[in-house]
Amino acid sequence: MEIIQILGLSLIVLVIYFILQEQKNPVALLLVLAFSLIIFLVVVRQVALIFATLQTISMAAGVNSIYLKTVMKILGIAYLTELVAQLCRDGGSSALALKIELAAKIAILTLALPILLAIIESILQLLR
Amino acid sequence: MQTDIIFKIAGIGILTAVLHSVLKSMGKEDQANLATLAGLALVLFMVVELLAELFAYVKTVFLLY
Repeated sequence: MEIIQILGLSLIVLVIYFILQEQKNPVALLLVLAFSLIIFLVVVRQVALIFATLQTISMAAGVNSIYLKTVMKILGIAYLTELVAQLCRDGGSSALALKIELAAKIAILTLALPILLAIIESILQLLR
Repeated sequence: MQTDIIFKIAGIGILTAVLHSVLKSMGKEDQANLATLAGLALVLFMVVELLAELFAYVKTVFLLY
């Protein structure tokens, strides 16, 4: 069970982070970054399995695979920016975190545009 | 789960912290800062390598290429 390991290790990392934070050592933040990267590596493997099952379901349902691919891209962007933005807030600069989130929102919006157009076109066809 | 890298980074962090306070108490302030900087650079190497691995993996999983 990966989750038990992650929980135990995070307590250890918390204590070490506290020690390093006391002496204003910049390595503390890097320690938190390294540990969150490792957690994300473990989680990404499970997300890959989830996406595989989603793919088979969407194939069976006959849904156009373009939509699923864009959803996965959007999820990937949100997934990574969440990691970095929270770390910036933890490091003390929330302004940087907001800028990163703004960039991520714009990227997601550009990805979602084709889907929006497809929906509008299908609605127009219904109305005609 | 690679737990060894975490303990490596923690070790370097604590070592540089102790080294910093020892050197400062000996009066060698500038060398203390250099020692902390060196420890920081070493840890940065490791973290950047881990970051590259994660980004490569996320790119393949989320089709972000």
